[in-house]
Amino acid sequence: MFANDAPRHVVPRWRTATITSAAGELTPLSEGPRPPMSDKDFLGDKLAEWREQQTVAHAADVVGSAIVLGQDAAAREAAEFLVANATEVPSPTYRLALRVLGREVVSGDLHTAIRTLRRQLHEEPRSPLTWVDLARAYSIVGQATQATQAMRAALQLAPQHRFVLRSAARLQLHHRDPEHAHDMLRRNTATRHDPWLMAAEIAIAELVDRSSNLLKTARDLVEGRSFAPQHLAELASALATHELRAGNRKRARRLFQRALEAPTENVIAQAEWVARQQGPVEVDDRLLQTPRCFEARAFDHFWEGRWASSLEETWRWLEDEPFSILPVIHGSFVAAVMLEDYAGAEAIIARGCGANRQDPRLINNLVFALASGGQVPRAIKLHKQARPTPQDDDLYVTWLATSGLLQFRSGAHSEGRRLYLEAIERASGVARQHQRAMASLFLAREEILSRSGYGAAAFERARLLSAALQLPYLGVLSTRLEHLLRAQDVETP
Amino acid sequence: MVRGRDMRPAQRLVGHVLDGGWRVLELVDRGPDDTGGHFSVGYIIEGPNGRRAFLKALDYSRALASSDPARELLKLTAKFVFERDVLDKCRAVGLSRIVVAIQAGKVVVDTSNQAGVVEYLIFELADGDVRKFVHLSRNCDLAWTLRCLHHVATALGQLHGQRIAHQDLKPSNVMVYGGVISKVGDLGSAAYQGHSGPHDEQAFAGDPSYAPPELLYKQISPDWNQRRFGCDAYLLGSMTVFMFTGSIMSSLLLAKLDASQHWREWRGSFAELLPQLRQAFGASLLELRENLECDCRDEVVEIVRQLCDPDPGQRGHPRTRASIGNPYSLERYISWFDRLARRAELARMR
Repeated sequence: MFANDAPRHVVPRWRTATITSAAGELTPLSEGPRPPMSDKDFLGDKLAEWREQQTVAHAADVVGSAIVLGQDAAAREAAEFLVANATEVPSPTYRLALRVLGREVVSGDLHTAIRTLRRQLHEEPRSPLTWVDLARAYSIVGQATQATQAMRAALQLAPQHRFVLRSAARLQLHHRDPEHAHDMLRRNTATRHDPWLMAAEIAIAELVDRSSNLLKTARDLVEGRSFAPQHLAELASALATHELRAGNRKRARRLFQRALEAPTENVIAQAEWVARQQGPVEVDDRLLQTPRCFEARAFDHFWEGRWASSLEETWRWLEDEPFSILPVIHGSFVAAVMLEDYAGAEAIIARGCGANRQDPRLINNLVFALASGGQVPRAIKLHKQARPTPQDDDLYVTWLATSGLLQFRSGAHSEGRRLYLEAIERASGVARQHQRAMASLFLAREEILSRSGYGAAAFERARLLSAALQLPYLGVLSTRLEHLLRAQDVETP
Repeated sequence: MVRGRDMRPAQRLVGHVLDGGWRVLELVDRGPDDTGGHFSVGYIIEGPNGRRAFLKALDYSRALASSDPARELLKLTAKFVFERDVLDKCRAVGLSRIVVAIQAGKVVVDTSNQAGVVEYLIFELADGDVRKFVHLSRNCDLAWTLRCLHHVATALGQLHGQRIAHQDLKPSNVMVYGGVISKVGDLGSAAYQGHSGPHDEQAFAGDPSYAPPELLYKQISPDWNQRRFGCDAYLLGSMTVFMFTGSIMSSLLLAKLDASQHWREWRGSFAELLPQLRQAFGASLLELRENLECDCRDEVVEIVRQLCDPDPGQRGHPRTRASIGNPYSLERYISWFDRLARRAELARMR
């Protein structure tokens, strides 16, 4: 399974409230002037007194005041003093001193994070953002019920808050209920005024094949420029994707240009995806240096054939959105298929499976990696747990092909061949050309490796099918098989 | 001609003998510097009976050097007169936990011009401010810390009883006498209900390092109680946090916000920032709790939770808020700190 198969939409990212704030997604739509600054020096006396007295309390007073006054640099000397006298310094002040010195400590693992968030909520149960962060943490470890309960609490406290609503919608998508996500956004009055919510509503409407009622309002907003460009980027991108789907390439191009004026990394990832689909947009390489642009960089490296770099960025993408299945699917594909690093594929699946342990696409990629790496009994056991119904066409084709792999690796070549051919046969439509080519390539690989005598014929079919698609990575796989075949010819007298 | 710093009359009081026989001994606070934070100079003085005191002399020189001396002098005088009047009121009604002026007066330092007359206030000399006495380590003197907070709460309660809000409670304004008595000083930023003051136009007249979030973010309530007493309530809670952690509440809150959300950068409304502040508040309370090892941990955290709520509309004791009268009344906290202090004092005796 390959992540870039599916259409992409600008659905909201879901990061912690802190990271979302730092990304600028929580800045107000209407910004007044910055408050006037007083020219009084409120730190001077405190610095003089601390230098004279040299006590922890005086140093702490300097550090605390400097943080509130936004003059952290002036408190470095006092902060150094506090750090040097750590045993005498209470931990909250010690942490502030580290902050002033730019040495903040990163928190621990996810279960520790959940415990901390719960304790923070015990202290302040009226914090909607903490409830959202808790819902996210529960999602990552796969505790869906707790995640839903936490998100419900957040929605009760702040039913119109941008971050809460976007996160709640994303949770519903994660729970495979995009209709609910769309209903929630569509019915909320805040969505009619906030371009970030409007963008999510339009993107999710596209995802569930519904028509958004906000398209006209959204177009007016984007063209009206009454908000700063960063507030309109995701909305313009969602509209562009809608126009592209409707066949209006010219409009889509103009909207993508607008979106890329001050893009979020999500907008860049969307534009990158559209560009790779021969869409009407070009993504400047410099945009890929935008912070947290992991997804776009992962795919950029992928399409440029830099598999190891693609996998590295995918790991970062997964750390950024640990509940998302897409980085796991992409990463495991790159590791297992392109790099033939089966342990690497298993590792990324293990990291991402907490939130998606029942997902058949993920199980399929794990079975493929295990079987290819020689762990056939374990792969067979897992494979049995994830049998889809024939009605679920895409998954069933993949499942058949992987069943073929398991048969080959168990020594049942003819049964393996039959299953692969059935998969190829089922993937006959234009929309499944990619699946067909992949199944053919994997069948050829197994024929060659098993020295069944059908290797050359299977390779020829796979070569033709993959060449027709003109996808660079299929070309790489095809060439790899050709070398394998030639090596066998040399070995065989 | 630009006059040198040492030529300013307020800087030249050492050796002068004031009304009542007070002799000026030593300059301890040079007052206004180049950036100008305040308009007074501090001295140690000694009375005829050998009793020492603190003298705060008004320095007109900065006002005179400004581009509009008349206006600056007027402002400066208004501030001085206001503080003196408030102190007179406190002394008249006998506020025991407020550092009140023993005497006010003026001394002629330079007869050649009008600025040569220096007005002053004399205060009881403290051993130092609370930063000199508080022990922030985990084996701190809990009874002393709680008794100090009881005194501070009492001081604010006494002021509130006179419809005066302090507005600048901070560690350097909590003065310690004889090592055991704490009093609150510096009423220079106070607000007096029913009396126009020199700071009425300012969101927060005190040191912004300690200001409550709503005033840092310029959300000024039209309700006097909320704006003034609500501010004092926050400052008392923040002082409590300082006494146990060394940090003030606003520093804990702001350290958890993104740089773009710092009050110097934020361009949205206070209401838009409140969810982020509330999240930071929960994390700060947890930090406080984790730092406390005393029996009264739950109660101290509860006091801070009520006094430092980032939303001034939610601040204060729930029962007080539900009743008629000043919702920010500190009476319950005075009793609460007293009870906690007594318990700790009893434990210390064992």
